[in-house]
Order: sequence, then C-alpha cells, then structure tokens
Amino acid sequence: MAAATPALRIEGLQKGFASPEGGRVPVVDLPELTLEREAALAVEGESGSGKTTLLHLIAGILPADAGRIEIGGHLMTGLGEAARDRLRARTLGYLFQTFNLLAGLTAYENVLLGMTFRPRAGLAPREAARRALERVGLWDRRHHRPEQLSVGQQQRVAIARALAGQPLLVLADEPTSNLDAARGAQCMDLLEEFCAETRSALLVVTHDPAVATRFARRLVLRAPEPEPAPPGRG
Amino acid sequence: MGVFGLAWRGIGRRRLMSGLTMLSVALGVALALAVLSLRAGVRESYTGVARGYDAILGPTHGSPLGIVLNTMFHLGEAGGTVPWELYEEARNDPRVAVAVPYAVGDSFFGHPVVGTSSDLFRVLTDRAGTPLEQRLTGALFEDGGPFEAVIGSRVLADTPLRLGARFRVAHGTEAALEEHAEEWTVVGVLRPTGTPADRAIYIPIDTFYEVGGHQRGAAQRGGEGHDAKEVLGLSAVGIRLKARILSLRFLDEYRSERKAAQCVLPQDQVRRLLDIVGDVDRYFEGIAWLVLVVAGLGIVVSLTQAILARRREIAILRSLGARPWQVFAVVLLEAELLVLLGGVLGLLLGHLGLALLAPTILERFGALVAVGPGLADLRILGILAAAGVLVGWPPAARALRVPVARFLQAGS
Repeated sequence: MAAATPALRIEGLQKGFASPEGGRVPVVDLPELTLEREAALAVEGESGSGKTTLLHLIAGILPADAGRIEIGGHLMTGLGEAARDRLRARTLGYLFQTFNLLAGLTAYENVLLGMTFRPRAGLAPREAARRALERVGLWDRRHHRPEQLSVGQQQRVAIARALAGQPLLVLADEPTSNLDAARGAQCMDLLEEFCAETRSALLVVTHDPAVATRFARRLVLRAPEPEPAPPGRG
Repeated sequence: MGVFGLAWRGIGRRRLMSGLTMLSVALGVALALAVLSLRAGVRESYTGVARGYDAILGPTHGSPLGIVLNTMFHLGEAGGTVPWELYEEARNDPRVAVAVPYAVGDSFFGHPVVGTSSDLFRVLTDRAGTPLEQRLTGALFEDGGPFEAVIGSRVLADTPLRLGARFRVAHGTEAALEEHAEEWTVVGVLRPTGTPADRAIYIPIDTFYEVGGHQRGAAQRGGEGHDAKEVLGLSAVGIRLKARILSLRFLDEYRSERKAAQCVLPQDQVRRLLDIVGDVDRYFEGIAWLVLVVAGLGIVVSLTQAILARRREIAILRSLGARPWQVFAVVLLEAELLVLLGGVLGLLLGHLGLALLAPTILERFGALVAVGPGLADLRILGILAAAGVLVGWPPAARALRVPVARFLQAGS
C-alpha cells in the first residue's frame, strides 16, 4: 500500500435498519470523511446519532447499505464477511466502551488474543503482548483476570489489546464513559501517547466534551432523521 | 492463545458443567468397556473350557446341556449313570486319544468331589492352555491307589484343606449331609486356572467305589458280590479324540447304535447356552450405548447453553478478527475435548474397575477378563472422536450465527 493513502477514507456511506413499522430508519449518512495516517479525530453526537454504528461499519462488523470505506487503501465495503474479518484483524484496533475483555482469560492472554487472528508481521505475538502490557504499566498484573482488576486497569488492558498489533487505525467507542473524570483523562493521555508511538491513526467516538475538546479535529454526527434509531444502538 | 487454547479455556471456565459432562461420557465408556470385556471374557472362558473334550458320554435321560454343565463345569447334578463298560470300550476305541471317567455326587464344604483318573490332568488345561498337571503344587494322586486328593485353588481358599490335610466328604452335594467314614489326604493343589477345576476336589475313581456308603448302595441295588463299579456306573465319560474332525462321526455312531449312553458335543452345547445368554448381554451393551447417547446429548445441551451465554464473547472474538470458521472450530474443539477426555477417563476407569474386579470375576464366574488396554480402546476413542464432531456441530453452527454488532454492545 502506498504511504500516501489515508488511514481511513469514507465516501457516500449510508446505513439504515428495518423499523418495526416496516420501513427503513436511516442511521448513518456520511457523504465524506478522510483521516490521514497517524492523525486523530473525535466523533461527537447525541445518543442515536449513529456513532457506534459508524464504528461497526468502519470495522466491517456491519455491512454498509451504500458507499465506500477504505482502510489504508483497502476497500472494506463490498467484501464478504470472512474477508472483512481478515482486513479488520490486519489493520484495526478496537477499544470498546465496555472493554469487552474475555472473563476467563488473564490480562496477558487477553492481549495475546488480539494478536491471534492477525497475520504474523514484525514482532512475535508474545513479545508484542509483553511490550504492550509493559507500556500500559500492567506487566506485573499480567496473570490477573479482568474481575481481579480495577475498572481503570481493565481499560488499560483493553488499550494494550487494541494497540499491541500496531494497527493502522484505532477505533475507540466511548473509551472514558465508565471512568471518572481523572481516570478518563489519564486513559486518553495513555491512548494518545500509545497511538503516537505505534503510529496509529485514532478515531474516538464520544459524547463527553472533556474528551472531544482534546482533539483538534472534531466531527459532529446527527441522526439523519428526527426520530432516533431503534433502541440498543449507541 | 490459539483456537485450542480458547477451547481449553472454555472448558475450564465452565468447570462444573464440563466436569459433569465428561463424567457422564466416562461412565458410559467405562460401562461399555466393562460389558464388552466381561462378555468376551465369559464367552472365551466357557468355550475354552468346552474345548477340553471333543465329546462327552452321559446318561441317556439327561439333558445334553445338563451333561456338559455337570461334567465340565461341576454344576447341577448328574441325571443318571453311564455303564462302566462304555468307559472301557471308549478307552479301547482306536479313534479315542483319552477317555476320562467321572463319578460325582459327593461334596466337601459345598465343593464338588469328582472321582476321576489322572488322565484328566493331562487332557484339561488352564485358561492359557497349560495342562493342569503342570499347574500342580505337590503331586498327582495315583490311579487305583490310596485315598489321595488333588484340590483346586478355590478349595484351598474357602476350606481348611491344605497340602497334607486329611478330610472326609459328605454324601450328596448339599453341605452337612451324611458323612462318609473314609479319609482322603490332599497330595496336590492346583494353582488358579480360571476354569471350573479351581472349585473341584479330585479323587481317584477307584477310591470313590471303595467308599463304604457307596458299596452299601451298590449292594442294595446289585446284590452282594458285584463290583461296585459295574453296579453304580459312572456319571459321564469325557472323550478326547485323536482328531477333532471325527467328533461328528463319533456322535452319529453313538446315536445310531442306541448305546446305553448319549453322546454330546460340549462345544455345540456351550454355543447354544451362549446364544441364550447372548440376548441378556446384548441388553447390557445396549444400555451402555444408551448411556453414551445421553452423555452426547448432554454435551449438545451444555454447549448450546454455553453458546447462548457466551454470545458476547463470540462477538468479541469476531471483533478481534477471528474468522467465523475459527469460532466454529473453538466450539467444535470444546465438544471434541470433552468427549475425548471423558473417553480416556472412562477407559481408565473401566480398566481400573476390571483390574480390581478381575480376581472376583475369575473366582465367582471362572471368567478371565481382559484387563489391559488394547486395540479395542483405540477403536472406542475413534468412535468417540466421530461422535464428538456430531455433538459439537449443532452448537458450533449456532456460534456462527451470533450477530456480532448486537452483542458487542450488550453491557458487560
């Protein structure tokens, strides 16, 4: 891939869901968005503005209705499910609002798991997982399982998991919403510094002004229609 | 943290459920193994014992199976007598290699006392095929000689009899009946053979007829002056032919000549007996398979439930880039591991149980069961591996259909 291609490029992206009444409720309508490599962007919006759906579309977890999504020059839209899984594993790090650590695994294994499904490049997975855990300051807690860690520590494990593979682009979904203000700020510091070190672009979805104002570049999403999307979607 | 590690962790996470599922597989396998080994052992021991003689001459009115059971297995009662002359005749028959006389009806502590000749110890063997005379501690009694006896290993274990001990026997097969006045001396003890010989007390057939009680009986029936042998006759004669192939001709001849005895082929009779018993052990085998099927269903239920509870986990795996087939493989591997680990545990349990029970089974039923692991175990594991795919498939297919986006959002 040419170095000039942006980390993320979106054109004419549309996504809707079938409404209970039978019609379609549009959730995402994004004519254009470009995020250069190693750049950062905050996406703001009220509940129901389609922020999380946008992340799912970028990550290829959901297929788009229309439009193009390119990650590092690779087209995500139009790919089959397995190909989207592969592209996601290769290029993306995903940080969830609820952390989504696997309860049965230790911190180390959770980070290692993030490396399991990506093609081997550069560092050996174990070494990469070790460095990531060291970077977030949890190497001495590597044998702890998530329930044995504090919420802040769980989020740092999640950050280590998202960044251990040095992804091209990190998607963060409300990364601070489960943390208090001080810890939220620490978490954002860590996330931004780590992204700079791994030279990953960062796209943070948030409705927290304290987070959004940290970013020079901000995008405000609005729900395409006055009525909100079906419940259960951020 | 590959597919295997995840499957392994999945089992570890649901330790109780996995343990119970594995246990039910293990019990089914152990039961199947025990039933199959017992059946093979019992069958082999019965047919093995029946190979001792090619033909048996028994009382005309006795049932063929009864004659075989009484003569070769020391079970039941002799259904009449065989004239002594027929024994002499058989001994002189050019086709006959060895003829062994049997006179039964006395007992000691419930163990059958068998009047016979020393030929018995050369013809009959233990389970491994070693002639009984080579399994002897001490000496063989002398034919026509003094009141001496050879006892089986169970007799040694169950009664006060030891090498050199003297004893009297009871008339009849039930304990505490009228005792004969004569005393025998134990001159030989058989090491365990895994055959009915373990339960028997062998005495020279001549001493059987010299017993005062028997002679009085002979006198009442045949009058004074007759040889007790000829009056009392024998219970049966065991025949080993020079060539086994002659046995059918021998049988036909006996039937057509209407002799004062009937000729039965022990192997035919035992086969018939096992056919009857076979139905019963097929039921046991069926139960064992049923237990395995129930265990398999348990795995389907347990894993399917686990999938429902773990949809978020599956969604996370997918979000980390796990391909659908990898998620499928994790679930399938979990089922496979449960089945195979349960299977190995079951085989261990089964073999251990058989090893513990084998001496008792040998004593009580005279059956030597195969205890050690063998090729049959690999076959069982092969069947289980296939069954693991079968039971793992439905929940694995379910894992494929988990809607990733929805369960990523579900609260933690």
